[in-house]
Amino acid sequence: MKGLLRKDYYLIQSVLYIMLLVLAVIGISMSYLTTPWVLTVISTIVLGMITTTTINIDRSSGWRKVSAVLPVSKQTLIDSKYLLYLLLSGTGLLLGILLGAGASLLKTRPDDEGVLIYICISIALAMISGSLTIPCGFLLGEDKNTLVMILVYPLAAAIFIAAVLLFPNKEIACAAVAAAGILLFILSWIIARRWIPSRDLV
Amino acid sequence: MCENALVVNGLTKKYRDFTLDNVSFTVPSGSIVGLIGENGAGKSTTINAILGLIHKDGGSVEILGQPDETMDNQARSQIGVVFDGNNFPDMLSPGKLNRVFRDIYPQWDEQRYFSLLEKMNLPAGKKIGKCSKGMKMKLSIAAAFCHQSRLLILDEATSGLDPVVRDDILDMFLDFVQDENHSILVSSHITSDLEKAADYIVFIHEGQVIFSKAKDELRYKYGVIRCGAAQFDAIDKEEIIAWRKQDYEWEALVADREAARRKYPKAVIDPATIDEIMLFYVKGERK
Repeated sequence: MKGLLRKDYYLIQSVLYIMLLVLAVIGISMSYLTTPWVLTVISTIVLGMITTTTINIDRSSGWRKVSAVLPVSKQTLIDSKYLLYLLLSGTGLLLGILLGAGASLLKTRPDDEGVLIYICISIALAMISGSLTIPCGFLLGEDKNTLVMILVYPLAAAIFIAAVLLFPNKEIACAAVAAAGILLFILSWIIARRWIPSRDLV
Repeated sequence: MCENALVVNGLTKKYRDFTLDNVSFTVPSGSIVGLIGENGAGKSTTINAILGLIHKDGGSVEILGQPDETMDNQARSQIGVVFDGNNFPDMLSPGKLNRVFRDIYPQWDEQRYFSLLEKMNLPAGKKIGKCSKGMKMKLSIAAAFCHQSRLLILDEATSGLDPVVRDDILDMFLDFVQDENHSILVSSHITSDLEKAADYIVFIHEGQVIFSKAKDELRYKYGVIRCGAAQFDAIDKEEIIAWRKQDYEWEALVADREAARRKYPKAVIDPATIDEIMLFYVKGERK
């Protein structure tokens, strides 16, 4: 597992630094234009999305075949991607909170309204999209994956809007979708571990 | 030490437009077995099924004495695999690859890896994306050598490489099998490479094993009779494996060159190359 995560770290290393810089710049700008807490959503999603990029690189570089013959189980290969997604999304969320808090403090009137809602939105969007993009990354080709990536975020947003319309309390609605997202992610992980190894890799 | 490093028995995989049909062969310990056949014959499908990249519809595979279904990570780490084309992401370098494999293979031999890189003139810091095809292939082979592999499985590892690099790689194979615990299964459609390195040849055509024989048997026993139409008519067709009509002569493949020489002293009988044998089976006429 450590070696697989290390390989993914090397893959995203160059992109990661640029992305962190971009997020910092956006965060500062956002804090003046709107609430700085929106950055939690952006950074959580953007960093999480990198996992799907690594799955695509694995396929195009031939690593996918190589990894299937390494002395690790196929379940471990799948686990490594779900874990990477959690690590990156978690880092994104934490970074968003830190940058949001920093930007909020810099403002003349500190803006901490709705911070919990934005955290819930971040978790919900990341979990719902991850639960679909990771297994699709393993099962579908690159073109279809791009389509899934395009569709999954509006889908997650639609679930969110539906929940807000259903529940009278906005906070409860956000928390419910975030909880449902986490549940969906766990379910996706369990199913992927069982189902993907039974499929042909090439 | 087990007698056979790899035993493939009745391997079957069905696709809509292709069937790998009841493929059986062995890779004896300490030997190099060449898997030959034209493009699309089923070589890669066979290797993919052996390695578990695709699920087989029938048959069994035993690797280093263990059925493939029950192979543990310890046994898996003794199999080195090299695929055609890219094996590693372009962003990595040989040095980074060392750190990745060090964390994956329990018996990763870092010292040997770097000494092989040096021997092959592969810079540890150079990104794989900037390496030539030959360098990439050498790197894949170096990596496959450095985790105490006992069985190497290579799918078209020499295709698309220039003769010098191919020769270097074949020398590496021959070095590897100096240890009688080491074995290689290598698929290729460049039969001249296998003629140099392989001990046994398995010929696959349209998803079926046509023959599995010692290379020396093919080289020293098989022959091609070249003759005119009248002489060809006089030949007992039961003794011919396959024949072809060329522009000015008839060619017939026989399994026993010396016996044919004795029987047809006036005919020209040349030793058959593996290429020719393959062509006779694929394109020749048979009784």
